[in-house]
Amino acid sequence: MLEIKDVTKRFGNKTALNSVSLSLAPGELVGLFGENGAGKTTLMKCVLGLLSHRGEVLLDGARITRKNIARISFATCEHSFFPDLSGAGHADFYASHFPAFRRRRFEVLMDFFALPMKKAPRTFSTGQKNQFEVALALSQGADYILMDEPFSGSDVFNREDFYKVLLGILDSGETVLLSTHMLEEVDSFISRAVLLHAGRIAGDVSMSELEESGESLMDYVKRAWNYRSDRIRRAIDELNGDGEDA
Amino acid sequence: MISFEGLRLEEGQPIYQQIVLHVKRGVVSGAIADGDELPSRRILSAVLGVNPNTVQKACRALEEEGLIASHAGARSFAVVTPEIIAACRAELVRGGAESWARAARGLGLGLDEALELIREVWDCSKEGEEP
Repeated sequence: MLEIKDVTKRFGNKTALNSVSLSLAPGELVGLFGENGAGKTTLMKCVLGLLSHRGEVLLDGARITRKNIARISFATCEHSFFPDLSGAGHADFYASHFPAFRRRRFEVLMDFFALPMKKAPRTFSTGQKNQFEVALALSQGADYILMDEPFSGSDVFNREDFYKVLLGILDSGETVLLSTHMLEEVDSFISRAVLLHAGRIAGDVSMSELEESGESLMDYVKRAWNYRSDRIRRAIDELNGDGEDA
Repeated sequence: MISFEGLRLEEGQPIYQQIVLHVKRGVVSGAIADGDELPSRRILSAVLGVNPNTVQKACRALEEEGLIASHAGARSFAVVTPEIIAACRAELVRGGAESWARAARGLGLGLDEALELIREVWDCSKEGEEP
């Protein structure tokens, strides 16, 4: 169980996270949704201890330290690999640092993404860099895999295939927290949706609950965010109205 | 092995129900025969791109309706008998008839007109039969 308890993060006088609490159980595939600046990346970085914050993060009851940090992996669109170290080099490096490193899975994913093993990743395209980052995060041998917008720069077929491969390789105890804007692409893949809005948890729902209620994920998100479907109409009306500036 | 290649998931209907319907259509069309094996839950989940919980829910529903039987080792097999084929056919046809009737009513058709229309299209339906 990964428990985020009352985490608050401020940057200067801007509150990025406002007492966020969230628990992730083994085996959950959780979608983390929110507008740009909602706090998705900040939340993941607080979990990993990359940012100082108020509140605490517990992994099976223990604070995150050097002893248990390997149980969490992180794929970030900012990229965390070594630009000049080849795929094969990364495999060796990971194997020597992470006892649970899954070399076979790494090779399967490199092959699936058609990424060269011997080239330095700095020569990769942006999409390939993201794929490489994801392959490493999934192969580290972590129990909790955090992925922050991992597919920008990949085309829709690549993304769809990737979700399928992911479903095929994940063990039942592995937990995924995936932040993305692609609601409709992941709604059948995830088991739970968590919504962040302006630094707070604005919604948290299991997909089976949602399915029973007959509401789509998109509608749920719009409702949770207080989305006003009339705002487009109002904008048009205002532009076409009596205003001289129209 | 029961194939799910032809299943295109659509919006607006729970995914587990779509999986169940796919199996029923296969049973009626003859694509699924008695004793055919269901792919493992993991494979099914990956092929469809659907959360394992959803696949599990579909399998439970199929089991409850007697369309699959699970043996030790968690492998599941189709159970197809003349009674099951008849029941699936009746259910699928009824489902189609219900949604058609709803649409016809919504468009302001009366029962007599609707029946007349059915008679008219019945013979045409011989060509271009859908599986």
